[in-house]
Amino acid sequence: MIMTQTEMRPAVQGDASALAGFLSLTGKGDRAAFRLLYDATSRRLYGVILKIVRDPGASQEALQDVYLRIWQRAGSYRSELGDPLAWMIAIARNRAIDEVRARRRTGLESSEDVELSAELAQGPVDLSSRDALSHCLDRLEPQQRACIILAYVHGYSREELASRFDRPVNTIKTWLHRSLASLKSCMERA
Amino acid sequence: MNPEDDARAAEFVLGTMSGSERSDFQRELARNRALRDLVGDWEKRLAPLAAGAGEADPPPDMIERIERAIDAADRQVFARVRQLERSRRVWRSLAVAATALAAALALFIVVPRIGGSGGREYIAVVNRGGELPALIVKVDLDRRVLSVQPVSAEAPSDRSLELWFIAAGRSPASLGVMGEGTKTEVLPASLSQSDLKGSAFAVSVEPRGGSPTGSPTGPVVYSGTLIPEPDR
Repeated sequence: MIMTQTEMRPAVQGDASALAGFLSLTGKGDRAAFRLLYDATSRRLYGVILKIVRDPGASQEALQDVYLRIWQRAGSYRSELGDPLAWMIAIARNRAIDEVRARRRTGLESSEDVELSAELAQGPVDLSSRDALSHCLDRLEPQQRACIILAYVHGYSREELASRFDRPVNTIKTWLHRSLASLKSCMERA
Repeated sequence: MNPEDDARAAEFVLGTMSGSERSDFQRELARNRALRDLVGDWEKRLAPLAAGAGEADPPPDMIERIERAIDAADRQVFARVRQLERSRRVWRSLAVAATALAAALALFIVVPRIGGSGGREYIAVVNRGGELPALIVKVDLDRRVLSVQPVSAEAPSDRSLELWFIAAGRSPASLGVMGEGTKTEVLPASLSQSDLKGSAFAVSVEPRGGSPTGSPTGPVVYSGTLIPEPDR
């Protein structure tokens, strides 16, 4: 796995404390801090949403909702909930997946096979947990690893994974449960 | 920890559940704190994968759209708060106006106290019958400190009381869950004195540990608004 991190964006990389500061001010109703938070994170969150939702119009609606939620929940953010970017990404993914489970997805898939090899090569949320995760992902069977990434990054459901890998849905479910359990125990050992 | 719950939490975060399974799980999540913690752990664990999504440029006017959506949502919340207030008595000298949803039982006394330095401190005693605790709410406008002290009973055993501050025209911001002792909060310094007037605070009943969403989800058992002092 490629580990170079030179292209990371300064506002995102390792700048959890700046983001935490913006979030805390946002929680107190500070619009200027909210705009700084938006500037520092919106390209990341939009990237996450667009990969899952695919349709730009629906993705923009989702992005708008996500920042509204961030505005409303900023006051309840605590550091034990994870680093600020991870917290915001969770809100974004949650909204994006709700979107695609509620309606059928339209739009073309991007060239995922090409992208899969580079999935973890870009800016991480947190270097140490990224390293542990990437090490543990490498220990999975290639197809099972691909399932995890297609689901997390591209929003695949069990059914979509089943048709992509030409396996019964129950097999996919078993794969997912096993892979996730082994990721967890591997990361706990790491 | 139940391994089955952990597996469901993992799959929920991964996003592979079907639509109906997902919404069932979300309902369960709203009332199950342990399950929320498992979900939080999985979100942290898998977050580095999001780097694989790369970045994309939102349309340049996106921030304006978001701010309009915020303004619209805030107006809604504020309109609700105002509506509650309107039906209640306005205290004569500068005061805290009390409202309580479904709280005919509420006994609410406001005692404006003029401190030695001319500091303005206000005390409200909120006493509800039944299972809800009595609270003493103190607002010190000069030091901008709000303190809430639970006096007698406890919150219902499977619930928490959460305190909210609602700056005029803004969304409720959580000031945290009420514990057993006095809770003291500094009112946001970014607020001007005139913002402070017309701001409200509210106490809602939430799942144990606090609102799962960051906004009030349970019944508001108490809400009060700081109102401008009439001429003396």
